[in-house]
Amino acid sequence: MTWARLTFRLQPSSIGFVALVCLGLTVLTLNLPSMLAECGSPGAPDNCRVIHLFGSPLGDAVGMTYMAIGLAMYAVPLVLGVPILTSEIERRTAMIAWSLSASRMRWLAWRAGSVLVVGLLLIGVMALAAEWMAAADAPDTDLGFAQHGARGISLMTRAGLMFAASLAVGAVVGRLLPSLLIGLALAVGLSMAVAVLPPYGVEPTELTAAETNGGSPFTTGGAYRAPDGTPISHDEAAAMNMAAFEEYSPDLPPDSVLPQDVSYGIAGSRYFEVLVRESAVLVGATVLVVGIAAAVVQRRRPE
Amino acid sequence: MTGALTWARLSYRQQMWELLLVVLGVAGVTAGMLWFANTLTAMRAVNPECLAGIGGGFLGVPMEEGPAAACQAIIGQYYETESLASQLLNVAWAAPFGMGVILGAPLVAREIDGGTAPLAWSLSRSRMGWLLRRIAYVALFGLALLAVMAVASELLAAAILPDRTLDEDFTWFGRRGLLVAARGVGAIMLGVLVGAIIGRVLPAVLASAFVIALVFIGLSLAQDQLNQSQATLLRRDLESAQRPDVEVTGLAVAYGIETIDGEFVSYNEAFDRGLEPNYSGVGGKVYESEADIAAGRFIGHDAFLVIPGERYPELVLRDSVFAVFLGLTALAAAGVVVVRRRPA
Repeated sequence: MTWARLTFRLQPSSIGFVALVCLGLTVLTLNLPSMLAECGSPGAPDNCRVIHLFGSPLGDAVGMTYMAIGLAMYAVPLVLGVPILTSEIERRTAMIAWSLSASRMRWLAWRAGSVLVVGLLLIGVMALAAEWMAAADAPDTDLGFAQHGARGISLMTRAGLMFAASLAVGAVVGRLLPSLLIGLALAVGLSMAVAVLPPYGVEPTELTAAETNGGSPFTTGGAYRAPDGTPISHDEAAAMNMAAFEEYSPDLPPDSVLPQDVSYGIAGSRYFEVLVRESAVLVGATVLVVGIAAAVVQRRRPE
Repeated sequence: MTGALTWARLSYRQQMWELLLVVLGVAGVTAGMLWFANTLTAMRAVNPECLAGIGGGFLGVPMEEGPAAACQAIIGQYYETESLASQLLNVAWAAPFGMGVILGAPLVAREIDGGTAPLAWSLSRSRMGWLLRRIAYVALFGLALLAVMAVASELLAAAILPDRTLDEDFTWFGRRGLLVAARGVGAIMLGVLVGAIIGRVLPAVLASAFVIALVFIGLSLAQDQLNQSQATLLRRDLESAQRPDVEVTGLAVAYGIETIDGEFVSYNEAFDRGLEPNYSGVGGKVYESEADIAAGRFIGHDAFLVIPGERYPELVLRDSVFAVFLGLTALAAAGVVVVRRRPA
């Protein structure tokens, strides 16, 4: 436990903040389904209004919780990773620490590794709770791509990459607050990048009705087909719809004369395939960025 | 003058990175605002037949009127551009609070954390004088940047809604104009106070984010209560094809029901009292059930509390005074903390 105590003594505020955020969100995530179920029952208590107010008008309470988890996924590694090197460099203890250690690499491995273990433990607890809440929200169906990136392994790989990026930024800049600001910008960029990368080379296919309506597929696009199965454009589909409604008005036209919506994407049953590819890419990127941080530390001039 | 320049240079050197990054951020956002303002104006100039009347928002336009089919694509593109432009106004809302965290929190915390505070305080005639000189440059610099952003946000708002008199309009209240800069005063000083209390940079930055958010949420709730006491009660007719101008330009404080007795209750309060305003009918009448509609038994009228747009300058000034007063209070508190703080 010496390393754990020492790790905490070196970054008490960061670790305290991270523990508060992760454990707080975990408790909220684990209790929210039962709270919402109680509020949906007859004779719901008055404090249910607070829960609905919490979710409104930006969306439901579950959605807000996932949004908070999504923010924590980047904020937690940022707060943990940036001070590792910046605090040592700013206080000019880095040269002493590096000279006392057998090698700078060994020092960095211990210093960053111990914080990473603590961080992954806390983030892991939050990721598990998010996974559980997603399963509780859809008890009889395959989760598929539901809340992808905000639960389970996908959450942890993103957090790991953000941690590595924070470490690298701290190593390059060497000052705490500027590194935090640059890291914040990096977090925004990283969140946008991981949003556009899926499905990581997995070929989209035409989704069946069962795959579209259940199992949370990853949708990449859509198209239309005429009633005879011929592919048609959006404008042709709109014209066909309008003509059908005019012809049958005031009754509704039968489905057989209306154009069909066709969705393309990855079925929810193939989620694991995409997850493995994504994890490989993100872990690979993490290793690369950690390598950059290590190279910077190795070559950094004494201050 | 030489002394002031020396202090300015020293303050700049001590927070060079933060100041440069903040300048970059503000420059980027301001440039974006001006670009969108120019783009929207140009789009309306190029397509007057499709975009005429769009510059007033919903003001004076009956809901059932729609544009010509040929203009759909142009109008869609315009609204998409306008939507992106509106996001920059949200950035203007958040900017003062960000300034408080980035510029305010490390001001004193860095000196204490770095161990230079006792030396600096002993070399200065008084700790309070040191604090004021330390804050002055950064606070003025931050406020100047916020003022630039405030002006750009007004220009963007005017470009999005050129047919409205925005001096008498609560649209994007708090996201443009004087309030952007005034809140900066409050946020920066709160950040300084948190930094002075905590005395370490990273904890101060993290804590100031929470403290600034909580304080301004509290201030906002208090202002909402004040607004509610000064608002005018007006009826709403949800069946009407056109929204009244006051609902578009005014500050809607609360929505609810005007009961038969003439009392205003919010929808939540109505449910608490056992009323069930489930249905709205012609003329804004509110009914509890379909049977009540058939019988003509209504429990009140849809209504809302609103502050008319003509009072916009008054409320901007009032809220700005609150924010500046909050800042000065925080500054005084920070002074007390610095004066009484033990050398670390």
